Amino acid sequence: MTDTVLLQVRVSAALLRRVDELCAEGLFKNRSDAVNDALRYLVLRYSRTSPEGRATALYLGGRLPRSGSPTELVFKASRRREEVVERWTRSDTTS
Amino acid sequence: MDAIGHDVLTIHHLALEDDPRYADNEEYISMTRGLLKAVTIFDLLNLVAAVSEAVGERAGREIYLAYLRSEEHVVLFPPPPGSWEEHVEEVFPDLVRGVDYLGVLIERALETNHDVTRYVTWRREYRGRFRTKVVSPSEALGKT
Repeated sequence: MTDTVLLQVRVSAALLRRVDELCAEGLFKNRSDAVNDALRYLVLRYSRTSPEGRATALYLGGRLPRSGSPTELVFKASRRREEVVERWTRSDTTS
Repeated sequence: MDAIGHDVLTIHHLALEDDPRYADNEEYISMTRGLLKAVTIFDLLNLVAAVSEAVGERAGREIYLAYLRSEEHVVLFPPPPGSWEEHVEEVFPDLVRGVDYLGVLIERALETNHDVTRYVTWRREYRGRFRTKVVSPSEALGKT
């Protein structure tokens, strides 16, 4: 038998009513079944997320630690510089 | 607070020293060192593409994360569209003013932060079309 633990969480009454409706429709056996399904979906969603996606989520949530500046990051372009200028900085524009 | 365009950032991060704009571009970047600056998510994503193409995927990913983590930069994200109908309706007035779609997205992101007073770019086509003042790095330095 699968090892299970009791999880106590607070949810809004309105959300719980919707969950109960889904259970009544037969989509889930009970609330636990519905919550398990939601948690599986949550874990799956984040297991597919790239480091950039995760960092974006943390940034938007105000939970990404901030330090330093990217200004010091200067790279040596391997492609011909003219091509880079033309494509990404539009060489036809001037001050 | 200035918001910096991806072209200015590309010239800096790829050290395009042969470009005639490089000197003013670097001077502007130096001038704003230590100050809070903004960059729209669309400019940042275009910078990722430029760096990835010129240097490689790893560098592109690195620059993205560095901007998100930067204490000197605010990355501006406009609210995501609720639906495509809503989005088309929202961007249409700016498109018919002759702003290209990327420009419309950038402008909408700029307007999410009231502290942004200028958009700094070498692209001239946004002048007079953005509601935010558009200046080149040379102008931001007071040279022209």
